[in-house]
Amino acid sequence: MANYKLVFTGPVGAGKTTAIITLSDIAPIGTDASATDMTANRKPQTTVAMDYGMMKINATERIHLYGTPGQERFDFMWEILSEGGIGLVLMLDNSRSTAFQDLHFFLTAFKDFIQGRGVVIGITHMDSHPTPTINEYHAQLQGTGLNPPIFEVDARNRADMLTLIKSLLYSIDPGLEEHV
Amino acid sequence: MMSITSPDKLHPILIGLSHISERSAAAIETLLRSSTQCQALIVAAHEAEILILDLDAGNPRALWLEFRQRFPTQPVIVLSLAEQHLAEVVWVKKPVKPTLLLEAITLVSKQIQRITPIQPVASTPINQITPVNKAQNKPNKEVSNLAAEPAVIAPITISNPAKTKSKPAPQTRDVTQAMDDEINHNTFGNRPDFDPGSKEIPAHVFYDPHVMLQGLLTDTLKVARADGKSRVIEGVLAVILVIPDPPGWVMTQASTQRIRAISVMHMANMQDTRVRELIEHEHLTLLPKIPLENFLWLISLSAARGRVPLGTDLHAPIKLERWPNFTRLEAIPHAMRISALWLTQAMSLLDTAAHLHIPQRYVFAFYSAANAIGIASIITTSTGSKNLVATHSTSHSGKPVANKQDAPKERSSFLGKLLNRLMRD
Repeated sequence: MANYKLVFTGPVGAGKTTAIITLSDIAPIGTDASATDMTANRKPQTTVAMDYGMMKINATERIHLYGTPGQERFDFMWEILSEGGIGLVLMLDNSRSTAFQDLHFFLTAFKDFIQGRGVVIGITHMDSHPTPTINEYHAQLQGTGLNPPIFEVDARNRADMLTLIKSLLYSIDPGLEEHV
Repeated sequence: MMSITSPDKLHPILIGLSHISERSAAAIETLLRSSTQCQALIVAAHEAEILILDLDAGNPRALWLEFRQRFPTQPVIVLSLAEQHLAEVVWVKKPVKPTLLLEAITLVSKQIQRITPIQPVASTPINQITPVNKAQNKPNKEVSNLAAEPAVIAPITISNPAKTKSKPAPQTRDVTQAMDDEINHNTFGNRPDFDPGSKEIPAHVFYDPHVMLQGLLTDTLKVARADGKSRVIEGVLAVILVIPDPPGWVMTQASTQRIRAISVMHMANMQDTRVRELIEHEHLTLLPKIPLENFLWLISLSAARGRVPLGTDLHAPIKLERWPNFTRLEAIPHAMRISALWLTQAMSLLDTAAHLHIPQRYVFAFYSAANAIGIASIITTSTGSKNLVATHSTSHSGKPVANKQDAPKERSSFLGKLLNRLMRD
């Protein structure tokens, strides 16, 4: 029985926990705690260890969804959660003034993980903050050797999140075929 | 999203509800509002083009007779727990699945657009409704007469085959397939592939964007970007405001359906079209705002209908700059596969269709839309036209990105299963 995982990462408030809730077939397990630091300015509760959800593929196979905590002081968790991952879902919050810094920070932090696997980037809050644009995110990646799918998403919207994950699968293996 | 096309494509389909509970009515209204881009609206029953009837709201036979007396010819969708085979009726099994109801509405919408009525397909008499009591089992003359009338719409059953225990009726059509075919036909045409080896390329694979809204918008945008001033396009059955400020916006009150309809029209037929500068403080800036990229994608896809812009070299390799923002763009079948392929290796339009085993029109449609938003283009090299060119297949380290050959077999198999799980969702 194959057991693989998708890792969701990104800064605080980008929608990682929501994305997992949106996709999971089970009630997700979270480790939220009341935010006490700067995080409290963005949201009252934040993930301190991990989020966990799961999608059933068939009777025996599952894809596990792990969300990393957003704060850097929990970055020791990132490596642990990444083991056995098939791809990275980077969620970025377009309302943050540091959106590009976040992009580079997380891609660098997960550089080794991304190699040989895949990465997709979901940009949230674009409805209220339309800039920077998707094109500008792509421009930021010129010269890095990366050209991943970067989509505007609403983490609450299942169709958005499914589209993002499908693109991850195709970017890992362009030869995949749809059978339904 | 389910695509529902109203009969004249410019006005919404009017849906009436009969014997539907208040709660169900609210649910249906919400469904239509959220899933049809307001192309289907709930109205009073006497104003409706299509009626939805809950046959379980009372005695089914009495209810049906009363309904047909009030609405003798109205196209109707019947909801009930028990399967129904009524002439002129599309049946949806309860509990109603939103997708099935939308399919039913689309099917009936399509049928009321027909000029030539469909011949009845062995209509099932009304007295085959499951009797509620003995008295109702007796043949009813009125009912028989009703059933004997030629059916304009053949009885059709719409239900979820996975959840329905009873065998589908012989007349049951593969509605989903019919729906897909119709949507695909409207958006991508239905011309068969032509032989890539033939010397002559048929003219029907090309369209001229310059004589359509796509060309007008592109030209207007160039002028607007040059002087930084917004422009208003008028006289194209809609007012379209073009704002050049990055990232570029379009503002219009026209619905997606209307934009689609305008996009396929020849501009020569709209001679009163004019483009002017936006007057300061003009109220047009209150119109709904659409990202320019999304708008360009939509109108080019509609104009192309599975073709490519005139002059496109079908044998030249195509370069895709980046993944399109698929969550906010009109869907094209196989677009993700084409994107993944072109981002790994440039390939000609014809080779792409052959390589992926997909109809050429989807590749042409995707190229036309991606080209319109400036992310796909033909590679012109001094070495001539090569069909395969390596593109973005490097990772951080410069190593090739994992592909099917590199991926462990077990993982590759798992990815396929996961993809199909997502496709079913």
